[in-house]
Amino acid sequence: MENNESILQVTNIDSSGQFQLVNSGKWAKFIGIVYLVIAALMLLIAILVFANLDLIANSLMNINGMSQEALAFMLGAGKWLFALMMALSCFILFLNGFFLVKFGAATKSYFIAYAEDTLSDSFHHLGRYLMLTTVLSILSTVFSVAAIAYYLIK
Amino acid sequence: MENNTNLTPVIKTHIATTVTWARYAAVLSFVNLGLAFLQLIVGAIKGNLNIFGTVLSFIISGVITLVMSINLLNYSKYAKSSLDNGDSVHLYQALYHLRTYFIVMGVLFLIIISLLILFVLIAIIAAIVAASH
Repeated sequence: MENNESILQVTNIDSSGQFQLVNSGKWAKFIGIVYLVIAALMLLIAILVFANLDLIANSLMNINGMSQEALAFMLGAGKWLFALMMALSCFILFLNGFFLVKFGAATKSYFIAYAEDTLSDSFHHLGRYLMLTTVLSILSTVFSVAAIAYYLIK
Repeated sequence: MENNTNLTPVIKTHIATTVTWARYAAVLSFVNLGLAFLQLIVGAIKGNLNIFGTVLSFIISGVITLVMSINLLNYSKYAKSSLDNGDSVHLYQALYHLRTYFIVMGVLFLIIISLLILFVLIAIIAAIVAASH
């Protein structure tokens, strides 16, 4: 009892606050796991598509019809552009998932042990996740402005 | 009566970092929502728009974005206030808004996963029915 009181005095997040934090952690962990699964699936799909791109390109050419230039691009630079985009997407999804899972795990550890460093860890990972979200939002803003400019010029 | 927090400097530093980034992320979400609205208007003016579908998807995504951004902004506001004044009630409110932010996102993910599973099941049933005929 005395031990618990002294710990609560150090962090002083009361039981209702702890409930909110731990609940946030549980949802964050779930979201993080979904991100990681999506990243793994994307990676798998990218590898399969990359390995069979010749076959896919030929099939597409037979179904829709495709110029030789388009086919050459698809099998040349397009192939590597696709690989780069997929790798980047997987990496971003993985990072998002990683930070959220770490945040969830740290809040759970805090709830079990009430250790100060686990609380510090949880906010550290939350900060990193929010930083990544902000960077992605900036990219989204830039693309949106570019899309609007393109529409207006066209 | 105010309850004072007694957070250590290290924890305060990490919370302060989350406050800054949460505010930036929330404001940028509002900006992106405004830009999406602008895209809608430009699309309508140019005439290349499926009005019903586009407006409906904008309303749904807009409401979700708005709810999440408001919660993130409130988290930032209350957490900053808690750091400035040492008020544990504000810290509780900040954590409440953080929880709501993650719940909205989590429920959204659950809905998307459920819909995906439903589509896959429908596709499998349709394939079985087509194969049996």
